[in-house]
Amino acid sequence: MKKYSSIMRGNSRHTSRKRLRFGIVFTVVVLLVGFFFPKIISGISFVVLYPVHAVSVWYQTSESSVPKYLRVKSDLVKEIESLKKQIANENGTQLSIRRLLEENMQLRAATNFGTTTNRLTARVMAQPSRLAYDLLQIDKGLVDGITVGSPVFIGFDTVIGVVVHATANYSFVELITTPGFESTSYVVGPNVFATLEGVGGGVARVRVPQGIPLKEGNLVLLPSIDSGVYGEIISVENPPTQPVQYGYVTPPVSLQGILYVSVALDDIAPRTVEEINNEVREVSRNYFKLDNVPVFDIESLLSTSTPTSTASSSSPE
Amino acid sequence: MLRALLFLSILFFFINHFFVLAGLSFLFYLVLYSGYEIVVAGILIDGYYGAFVTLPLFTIVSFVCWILANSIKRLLLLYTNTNETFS
Repeated sequence: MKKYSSIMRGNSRHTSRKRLRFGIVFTVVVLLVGFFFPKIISGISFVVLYPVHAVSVWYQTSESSVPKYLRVKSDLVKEIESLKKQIANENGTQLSIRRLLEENMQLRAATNFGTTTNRLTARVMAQPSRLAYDLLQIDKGLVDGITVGSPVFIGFDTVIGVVVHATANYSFVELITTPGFESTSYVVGPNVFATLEGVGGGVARVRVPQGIPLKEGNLVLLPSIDSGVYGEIISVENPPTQPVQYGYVTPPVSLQGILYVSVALDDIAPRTVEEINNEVREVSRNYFKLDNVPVFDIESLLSTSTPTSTASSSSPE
Repeated sequence: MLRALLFLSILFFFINHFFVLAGLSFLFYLVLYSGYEIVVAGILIDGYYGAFVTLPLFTIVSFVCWILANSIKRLLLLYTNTNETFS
């Protein structure tokens, strides 16, 4: 719709020029006053803006429903926005960092074994989800020195199974959790020997009579293998009507998450009961010892301080 | 009434740091009215934040915007045969 004005062309120009001139003069005057007396302008501004300021304070601090609702809503929107940004930034890098870290840790754990047995690090090629359950395929075989019956470890001391089939370039490892797989285990805590039997699905169980204080978190060792820790009890099944109780055991790492294993190249030597008892005692003792914690070495301190004190006491003579 | 509301909303939004809303209100005010009150708003906000001690940036920006809006608006005016203006 056309909106006609009674202002003529000449009048319009004249009026706007006049207004522009007034605006320029006004602004320059205010800027000059502000430059020389900034407090005056600030005071006037604060007085004029006091109602607006009061409304702002009410909006920012009032506990009444309307401003509170608006505040909470805007805060939530801001938070959602910042979280979205954070997720977008971190998602990309975090996954790859975690994957590399995990792989690095596993590789370190697999290679850094301080044991007398001769070990070989192997990469896992296929895991239970791709193979028949409780079976691993590794990329080392007869050529590399692996023989059927070699125990397979995750890291330093967690034994997970034995090699059951070896070709020239790859081997299959049967896990301890395979149904029907039985081995003698030692449960730290109640300190009893018990049969560890595979249940399948990455889980094995120890069967002990009622009355033995089996608890979640008890460590399970395989004393027939050098420093063979299997895992810890994650669940106890103890039906009061049954003569036995079961402790379900899993290895500390998910079987699907295993990338590297180490294979002991020496055969498992037959052991006497005494040897096994000593081994169990040694392992259960060392399991609680931390390697990475710096411990104050009092012996070395004494050995360094003693000659000094002797020297200082002997010097006056 | 709308003019006063728009003017107050510019002040309110700037004081509460809702800069997007404040900018939009500022633009609306320039397009609809282009009065020199916009410079007054700039002076008040600069005074409120004590910007005259250093550089009253908002005053200068609003002044420049007002001049620009005025000059652009004058170019967009249409005239009738009898030299009456209409928009």
